[in-house]
Amino acid sequence: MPPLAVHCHSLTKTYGSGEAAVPALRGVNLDVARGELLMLVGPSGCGKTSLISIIATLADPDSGTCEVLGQDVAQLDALGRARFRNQAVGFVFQVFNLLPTLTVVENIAVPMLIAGRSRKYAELRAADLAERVGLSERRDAPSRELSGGQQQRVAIARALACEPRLLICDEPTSSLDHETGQSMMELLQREAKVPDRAVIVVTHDPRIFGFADRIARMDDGRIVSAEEMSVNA
Amino acid sequence: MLRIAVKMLIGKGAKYIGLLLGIAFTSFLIAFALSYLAGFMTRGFALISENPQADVWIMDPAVDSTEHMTNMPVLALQRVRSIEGVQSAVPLAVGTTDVHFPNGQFQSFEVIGVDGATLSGLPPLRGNLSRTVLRTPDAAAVSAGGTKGKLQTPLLRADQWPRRPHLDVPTRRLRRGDVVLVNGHRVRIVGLVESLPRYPPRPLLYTTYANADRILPPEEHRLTFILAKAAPSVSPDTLAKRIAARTGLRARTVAQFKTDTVRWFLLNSEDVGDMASMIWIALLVGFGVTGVMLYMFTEETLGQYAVLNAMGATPRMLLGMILAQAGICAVLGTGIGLGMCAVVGRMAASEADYPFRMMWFSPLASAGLVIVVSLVAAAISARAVFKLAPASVFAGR
Repeated sequence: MPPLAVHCHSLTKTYGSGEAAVPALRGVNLDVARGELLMLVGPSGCGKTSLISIIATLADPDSGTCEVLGQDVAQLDALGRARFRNQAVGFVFQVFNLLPTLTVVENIAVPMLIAGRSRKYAELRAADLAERVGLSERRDAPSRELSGGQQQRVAIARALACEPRLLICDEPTSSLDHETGQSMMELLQREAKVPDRAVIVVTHDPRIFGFADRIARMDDGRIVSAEEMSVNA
Repeated sequence: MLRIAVKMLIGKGAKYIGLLLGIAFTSFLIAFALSYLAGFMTRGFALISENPQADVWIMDPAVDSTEHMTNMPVLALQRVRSIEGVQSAVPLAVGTTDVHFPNGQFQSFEVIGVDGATLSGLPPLRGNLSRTVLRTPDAAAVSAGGTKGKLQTPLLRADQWPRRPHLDVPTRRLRRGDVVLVNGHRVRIVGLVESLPRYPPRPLLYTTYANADRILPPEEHRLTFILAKAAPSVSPDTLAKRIAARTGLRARTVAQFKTDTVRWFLLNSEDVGDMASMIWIALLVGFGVTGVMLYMFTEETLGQYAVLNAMGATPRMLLGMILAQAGICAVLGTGIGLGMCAVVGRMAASEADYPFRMMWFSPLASAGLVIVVSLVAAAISARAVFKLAPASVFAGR
C-alpha cells in the first residue's frame, strides 16, 4: 500500500442549526493513496463538495479527523492553511475561475506569485506549463478570450504551477462538450498523474469514469461504495 | 501581487473608468468648493491687498477686520509716526455712504479716502491715466468692486439733474467727466479704478483723505486705518508689537490682518455658512459616490478574491490588493479631478469674474479626503472578502 495522501476518519459536517440543520457529511471515512486518481461521484447534495472543501482546508469538519499529506489540517491556523493550500494543493474548478483580465501566462503564474516566487521565474515556468497544456500560441491572450476547453487547460496548468502533491478537481468536464471533456481528462492524466501526487476528481460525468483508479460513491453524506477500476482509459 | 491587482482593476474597462470619474468628480467638487470659499475670502481682504506698501495696519482696538470698523482720533497718526522703526505712516479713511446719480437714482458706495500726498492705496486707473488726477478738486475715481450694473448714470443730458427724478431712463456706465452727488457734495469722476473685486461685492469710490472727510457724513473721527511702513532694520512683526504697546491701538502685520479678516468672515458672515453647507454637501455626495462605487467594485470581484484565497493568498495579501486598487483609483481620480478644477476654475475666473482661488489647502484637502474615503471604503468592502466562505469557489456552494 503506497503512503496515503488523504486520510479522513469519521468526518461529519452539518450546515445550519435546529430544525434548519442540514447534515452534509455523516461519518465519512476516506483514504486516497499517493499516485491515485480517485473519482468522487454521487447525486447533487450528497456531500461531495463538503468533503473536498474539508480535504482542501477550505472548511472545517464538525467532528472527525482529516490528515492531508501527513498533516492534520485541524492543527493549522488560517495562515498555515493558506500556505498549505498554496504549496501542497492544486485546484481545478468547474467554471475555471480564471482571472479574466490576466493573460494565460499571468493566470498560470498566480499561485507562484502568491508563494513569493519572482515574477521572472513565475512567468518562465508559466510559459513552460502553457506549452505543456498546448497553449503556447495563446500564452499572451487574455483568458476571457479563450474557449471553454482552453480555459480549462489554463486552469490545469495553474493548478500544477506549484507542483502540488494533491490535486482537487471539481466537475472539471461539466462545462465542456464530450470531446473536449475527454481530451481534458487525457491531459489531466498525462500531466497531473504522477507517483507522488493524488488526484481527486468530483464528477457527475460517467463518460470519464474510465480515467479513474478508484471510484468512491457518495449518497446522503456517506461513502456508500468504493470500487477499484481494473483498466484505465 | 500588486501588479495583478492593478491588472484586475484596469481590466474592468468601463467600470474602472466610471470609478475614476466618480472619484474625479468628488475631488473636483471638494477642491472647487474650497477654492470658491478661498476666492471669496481673498476678495474679503481686497482692501489689504490693495495696499502692498503697508507693513503694519494700525486701527482702533475694537476693529478686527476690514468689515467691522470704527474710526480713531487723527492724533493717532502723529503718535504712530513718532515711534522708532516707523519709516512712514499714512492715513486711510473708509466709510459707507449713498451716491446720487444725475437722474435721481442712488447707490450705496464704500468710500476709500487715501493719503492725498502719496496716493498710497489707490490702484491704477484705467487708460493709463495718472493717479495724480485724484488730487484735483472734488475728484473721485470709481470701481464696480465686483458688482454688475451699479455704476449707471443717465444716457441723455435731458435726464440729468431734473427737478423730479427720471428713474427709468436709458443709462450708461459712469465715465470720466461724469458728476455725482455725495451727501450734497458735488463729486467729479476722474477715472475708473482697476481695483480688486470685493466680498461682499460693493461699488467703490476712491478719493483723497481730505475729500473723503468732506463728503462723508460728519463723524467725531475720520481716521479708520494708519498704514505704516517699517524701517529696513525692523521686522513688521516687531514693529506691530511696538506700536500696539506704545499707543494702545491695534497693530497687525499684513498677514495677521488678512487672517483676522478671514476669521471674522468665517464667524460672522451668513454667506460663509451657505458656502460651508455647499462644501459639506460636496463632501457627502462625493463620499457617497466614491464609497459606494469602490464597494461595488470590490463586491463584483469577490469571486476572484475567493479563488486567490483558495490558491493560498493570505488575508493580508488580499487586503493589500484591495487597498492598492483603491489607492490607485484615488490618486488617479484625484489628479483628474484637481486638473479639471484648475482648468474650470481658471476659465470661470477669467471669463466670468468668478471668485475662484485654488490655494494650497484646496488640492491637499481634496486629495487627502478622497484618499482617506477611498481607503476606508476599500477596507469596509474588504470585510466582505474576509467573510466569504472559502468553499464558495466550488460550484456546489
